[in-house]
Amino acid sequence: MNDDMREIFGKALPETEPPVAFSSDSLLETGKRKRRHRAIGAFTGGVAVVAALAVSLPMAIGDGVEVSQAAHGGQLPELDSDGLYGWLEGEAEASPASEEYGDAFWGWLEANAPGFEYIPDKYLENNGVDTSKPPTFDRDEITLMRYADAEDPASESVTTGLIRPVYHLADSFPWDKPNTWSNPGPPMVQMPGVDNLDIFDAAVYPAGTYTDGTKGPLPQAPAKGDENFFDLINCEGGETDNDTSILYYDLGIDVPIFYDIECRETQTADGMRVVEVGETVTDKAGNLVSKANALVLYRFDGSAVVLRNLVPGREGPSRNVADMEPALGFEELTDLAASLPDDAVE
Amino acid sequence: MKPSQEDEYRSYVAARTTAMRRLAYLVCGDWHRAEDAVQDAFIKLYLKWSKCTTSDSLDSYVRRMVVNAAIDTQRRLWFRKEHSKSDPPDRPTRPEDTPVERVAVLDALACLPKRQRATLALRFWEDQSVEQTAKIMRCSPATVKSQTARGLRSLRGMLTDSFQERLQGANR
Repeated sequence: MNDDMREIFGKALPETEPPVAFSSDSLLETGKRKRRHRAIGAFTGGVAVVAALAVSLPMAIGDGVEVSQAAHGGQLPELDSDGLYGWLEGEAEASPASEEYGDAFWGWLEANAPGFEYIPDKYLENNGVDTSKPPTFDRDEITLMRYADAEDPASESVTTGLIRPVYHLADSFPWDKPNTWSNPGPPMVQMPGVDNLDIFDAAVYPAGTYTDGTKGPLPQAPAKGDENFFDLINCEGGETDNDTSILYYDLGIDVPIFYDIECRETQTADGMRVVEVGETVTDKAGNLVSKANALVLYRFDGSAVVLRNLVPGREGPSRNVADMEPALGFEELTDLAASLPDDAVE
Repeated sequence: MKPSQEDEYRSYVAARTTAMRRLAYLVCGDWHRAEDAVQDAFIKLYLKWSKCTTSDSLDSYVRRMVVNAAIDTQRRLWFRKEHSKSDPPDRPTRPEDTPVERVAVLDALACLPKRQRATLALRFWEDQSVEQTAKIMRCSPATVKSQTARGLRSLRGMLTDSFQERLQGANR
């Protein structure tokens, strides 16, 4: 079997491979530049993963994970402030709550945006998935991991033993249910009377999976630290992050993009806390790349609903989506978040 | 970094570029992205070189970074999405003279989910054990086994039909 498979993979490689475009010299030069940039950033108070964790999480406890009542939402385990942690995704699958959450989400759209159309990814159709119905919320079990090297999220990690469920709206999948935020991702929707497509992220986090700060990344959004932050929303403004240049892999263009993020806190009529984020992404030339409205609804039971409505551009970094807006405003997103079932996430 | 460490780094890059680039290509199916993934991984490696050279699992560490970069759809998700309405994603155009057998294999691999594809590439191309693959993919050994079984089943099914059809078509 091993030899058979190796032969198959060997056939996927061409007889003549394209020349390597980088050299060890160019890597060294880039590495040195990044090291200098990193040193300057650290000295001037740039955001670093460990620093952010130290701010947003309670102080260290030694071995194991203990439970604290400190953060909003409660019961986030106390973590070593010198350590680096992240959630390890599990195998997402349907649960009894999947249909219920899915029905509530799509039911809200039917009631408030009649005529909308779910646009399944071609990938699903190509793989024979029934895309006649929009997806429901998968249930994933995520495990809190600690990295061996506190400065390196690619280092080995070991489980802390803490496992939590998360619900996430994602397209169905043929053979396996990929986890929380990877392929195939959030569904696309054609809203009535709109030319462009809207993409909707939706996730529900139980108490004990997040902090209530506002410096972390949006789910699905590129941001420093990625999974190593535990906040649910990003309210840092005007941030530049050259690492996000890989966003343009598919387009074969390697350029930085810039975030302009507006954030405000409010609450629902019945007193639940809401953090709203307006996100505008531009390229180096100032052209608009994408826009998004997102929010977190912190529910009374300590769980949190994260919704994000993103409008992607059409033709790459030179695109201009100045005339495009996410279909749902913050009031509508809040109403949608509040319409989801309020059963405990379990 | 000391000059001697730079030399060690250069030597490692020179020795492993081809293998890592092939691994990335088998995971993502595109040479440009594969090269970007490897370049990104090597730059990160440079930043950690003084620690990494003492590690017994340097290759595993680099493999993890390469595979992560190659399957990282999260960061560019909406760009993939916007293209997917008109074209199947992750199927780069190929030269017309690409051998039919290779096209069949590439098409079959492209139909696999990326994590599944990466699992197969690590297991059977890179000869990584279930446990080693689990560490690289950051999942449990049970997940590696299930991904492998599903991937093999799917791949076998796709290649059995399409392989023969394409070969017959090419021989006509």
